[in-house]
Amino acid sequence: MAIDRHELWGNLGMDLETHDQLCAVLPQAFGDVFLSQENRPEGMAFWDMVVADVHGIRPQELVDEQAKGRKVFGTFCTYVPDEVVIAGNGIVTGLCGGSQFWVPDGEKYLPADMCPLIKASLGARMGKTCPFFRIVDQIVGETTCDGKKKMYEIMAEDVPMYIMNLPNMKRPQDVAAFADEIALFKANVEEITGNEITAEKLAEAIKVINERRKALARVYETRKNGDVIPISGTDALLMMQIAFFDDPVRCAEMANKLADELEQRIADGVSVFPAGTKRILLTGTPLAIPNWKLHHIIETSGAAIVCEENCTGTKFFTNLVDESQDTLEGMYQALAERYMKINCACFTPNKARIDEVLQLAKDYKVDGVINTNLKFCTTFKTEAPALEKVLEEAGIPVLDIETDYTDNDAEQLRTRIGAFVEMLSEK
Amino acid sequence: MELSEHIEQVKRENPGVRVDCYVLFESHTDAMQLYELVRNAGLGARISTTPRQARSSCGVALLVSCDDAEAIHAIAEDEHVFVENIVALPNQINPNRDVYC
Ligand code: SF4
Ligand code: SF4
Repeated sequence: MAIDRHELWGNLGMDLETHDQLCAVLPQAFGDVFLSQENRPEGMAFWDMVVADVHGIRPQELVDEQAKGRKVFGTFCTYVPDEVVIAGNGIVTGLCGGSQFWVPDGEKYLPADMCPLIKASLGARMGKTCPFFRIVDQIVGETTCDGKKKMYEIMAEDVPMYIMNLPNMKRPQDVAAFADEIALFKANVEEITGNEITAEKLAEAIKVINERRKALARVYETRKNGDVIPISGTDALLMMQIAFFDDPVRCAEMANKLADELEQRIADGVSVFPAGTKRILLTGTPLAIPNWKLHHIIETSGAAIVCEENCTGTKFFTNLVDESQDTLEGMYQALAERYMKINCACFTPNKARIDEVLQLAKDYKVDGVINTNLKFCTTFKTEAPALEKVLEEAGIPVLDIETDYTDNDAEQLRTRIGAFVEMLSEK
Repeated sequence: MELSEHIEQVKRENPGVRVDCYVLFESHTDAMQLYELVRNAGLGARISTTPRQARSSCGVALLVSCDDAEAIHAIAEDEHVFVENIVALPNQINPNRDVYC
């Protein structure tokens, strides 16, 4: 008899019967999306293992750490500074829901015309069908989009919630305000963990998270090679999705190992796609685990994704925090400066994002851009035309896709993406 | 039933379809240990989820060629890695299914 995770899940107060339905669909989707690929890097074995027992291995580790007195913080945005939690000897776990499975439970509390990421996230908590949502000692929300803000109010009825106030602009006074907000968050982490956060501890945590950023960036760096594509976009996405809930030191170690292998593949000319495969930059809203639909459809339609400009991609690791500060105040400011460089559509103006996308298109030598937004995400949808206009002016073909977590539009997506890739081939 | 017999039976029942073998474990640490041993022995193996058709509870499995199943079973026995079961199944992988989770 296999190790029975039901005891772990039962102790967490999960709805075992409903959760079993999710366990039933994961193996098939994983096989179709990942095991159908040829010549995957060996280093993916680690992430394959994590996802094969995604509600078992890491949740058990978290529960074991909690038994030793550590606290687990759940987050929903790449703006929440992991460094502060790590400095308090806490653990961060990303919680964004990426499965349609959780959406109906979210819709019991939220309007249907809301982004599926928000609905799935609330549904996973309220439906008691995700161990990570049960484990967290506190959730850290943030004032980004309206949908999330209002969802947090509902979730706060069910679980301890702390909200960080994020500015919506990026003037120097906004950066300073975010530094103050980070100082407040430090006090919250100290209160929850019972551990004092000293300048030494915060400096150490800044290094840990910078190392993770550097390791993930190394993997992405290999995807810039114009001749060899050493890893599929689908595999790179899985690494990124798991980075949100894995231990940051182990994450960096595994990503560095993978980068070693990918660099060797480039030296040896080992590509996972045939020469001439069209290179795609995917931009837009985040792709929370297990949202693999778009990557899989694109990469089985004759194209390869070589970069993701989103929070489950470059935004997660681009820019390091300055490590030269030695006072807490200096570090709050350094953290604020790094985080406020994330170009999210929740900010205004957000022209820096357009420049960033143009630069990524160049660096990753892409043939085209697919700009995607989750249905009912108003912020990203509203700025899409401006982004697409600039790309077209730069001579970069762009396809706009709005989708959600359901399978219903897969055939239509295949038709549109197939036609786009064909058009790129004729250019 | 002997492993080879089981594999042959599944092949007979699924004419014209590729049959793969899944090695099932009690824990992911056993799975990863055997994965390393099998790769070091020069045999193919891939980390997989446990197919629903093989067992009702999730977990880490190894996807291997049925031609190597006996050899892999022997490695596990020699190295004392506990294998719960080895199950032959007709091809479970379909990249065009478009059923996500
Ligand atoms: S897209 Fe914006 S709101 Fe969403 S995780 Fe990224 S920074 Fe946060
Ligand atoms: S995708 Fe858009 S609507 Fe959904 S949570 Fe992110 S910013 Fe909000």
